[in-house]
Amino acid sequence: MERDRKKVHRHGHHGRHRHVSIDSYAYISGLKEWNTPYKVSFALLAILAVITADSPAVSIMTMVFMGGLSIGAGRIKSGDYFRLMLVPAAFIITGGIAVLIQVGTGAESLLRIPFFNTNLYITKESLGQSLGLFGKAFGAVSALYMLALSTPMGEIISTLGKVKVPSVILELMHLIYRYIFILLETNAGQKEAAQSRLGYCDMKTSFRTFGGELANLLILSMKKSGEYYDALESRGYEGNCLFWEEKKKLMKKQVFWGAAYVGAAVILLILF
Amino acid sequence: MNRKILETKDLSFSYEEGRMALNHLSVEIYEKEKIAVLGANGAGKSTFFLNLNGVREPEEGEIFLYGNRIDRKNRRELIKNVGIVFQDADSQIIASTVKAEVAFGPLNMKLPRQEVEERTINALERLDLQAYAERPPHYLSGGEKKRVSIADILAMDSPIIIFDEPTASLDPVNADMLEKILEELEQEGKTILLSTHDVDFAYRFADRVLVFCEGKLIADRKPENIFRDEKILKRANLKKPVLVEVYEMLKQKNLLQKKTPQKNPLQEKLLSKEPLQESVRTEEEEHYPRTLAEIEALL
Repeated sequence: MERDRKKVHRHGHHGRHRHVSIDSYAYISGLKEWNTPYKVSFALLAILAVITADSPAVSIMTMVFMGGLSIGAGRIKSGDYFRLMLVPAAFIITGGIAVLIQVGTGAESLLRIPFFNTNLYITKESLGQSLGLFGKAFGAVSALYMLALSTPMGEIISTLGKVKVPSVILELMHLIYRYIFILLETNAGQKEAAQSRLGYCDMKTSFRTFGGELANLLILSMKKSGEYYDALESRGYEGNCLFWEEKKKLMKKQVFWGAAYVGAAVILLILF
Repeated sequence: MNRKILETKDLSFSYEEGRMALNHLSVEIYEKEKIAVLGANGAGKSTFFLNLNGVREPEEGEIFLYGNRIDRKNRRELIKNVGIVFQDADSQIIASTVKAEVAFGPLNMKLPRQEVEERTINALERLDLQAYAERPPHYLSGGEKKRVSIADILAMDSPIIIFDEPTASLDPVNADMLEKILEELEQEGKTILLSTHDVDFAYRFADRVLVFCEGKLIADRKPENIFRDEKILKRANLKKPVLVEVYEMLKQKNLLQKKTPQKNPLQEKLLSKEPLQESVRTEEEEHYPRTLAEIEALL
């Protein structure tokens, strides 16, 4: 098991193609064995709780709880976890700043800076609002990350199937997920081949090369799609993709974490 | 004698008007045969395989499976009985984990869940892929993907297995593993067809060789018969296996002690099979050595 984890890590980060990242955690996560529908419901419940409770305490608790679950039980390296958090953080912080800073005369403000012929200022309300927004957004993202970093794509798709999402959409999701990697790999090969012939030596050449690559990728994809379809048919595909779904048992430990979260949220709501 | 398992009569197929990809092919395939299909790129090998598997529908001619004529209604029987391992593993693999990938074929065969799982796990074990079961295919190496694509077909447990250029792009370790699997399949009584450009491999593996050239079947004989026929080799642009060349050179230089090599029992068995074509029956045959050890015995 330990060796496996290392191997996936190696493929994920130091392999030939560095674009592979976020989905590789799902295959090594300690939360992988959790019952998938339960995990999805848990994450959705937490997101719902954060949004409806509208309480900073619940938001912060969710952040800590979900982060702890991902890093502790999920065994994702904390450095990796915070690095991944930086992506939504960029959006959340810019959004938060927009709420925080107001434009106008700025009476009764905590802080005011003249800006051309108007003022930029922060009020107590806007500060509270933006902090609340930060908390809610990070709380929801941490719940979503708990799910995304521990659940392979195939399982998320089959859980969607359980809530009666049309099978056409599910099949498309499956195929797109699989072929994204083939496209990326093909493109990485093209890029290397182009680089070896000075295809990226300056800006103008780079644009031309990139355009050529995309055009070729389209043609390649169209050619290959016939072959993919043959391969599907040769294994008995009849217009309905059937995929294996692992049945994962709901264990006491999993229920305990869910109950602990709900308990903590209720207590915080009563206290504050 | 072994039972006839698959037969094509006057099979023709074309992708575009006026250019026959397959030109009136008639082949009989018997149970437990090991057939190598040789020919240049574009000679029609892959198209032939897709017709045998039922993915392509022949334009003319007929296919018989266990003596039953295949038509549009029972085309599915071909898919169940003939499995193809595609040349490019990436074009075959579609699921998001190795286990789901291998289970795809059995699931399509509408088998009960427990049997699907048994077959899947069994196929994974045979290709030494258990540790990869929960992995997504895009983090596997080329050789590992090839093994997954073979496990895909083993899980379907079809009596006939086709390998489309299995040795292409395999490193020596994986190529050895492939030959070991082929041996196991042979012992299980599977019928194997494979196309290859590696004549040494074909000579080692096959007990029958089909040579394709521009959509036509130009020869259908035992390997030693094909590989000493300069005319056919030239027409199909094939090289001689190294063993055949060495043997012929030694013979030419009179370095072989024994003039009339003993026929080995395996060879006798092959000879007793019903002749494949008229040409096979003609003239008593000189046994060509199939292994290095056989040549050594002649020195």
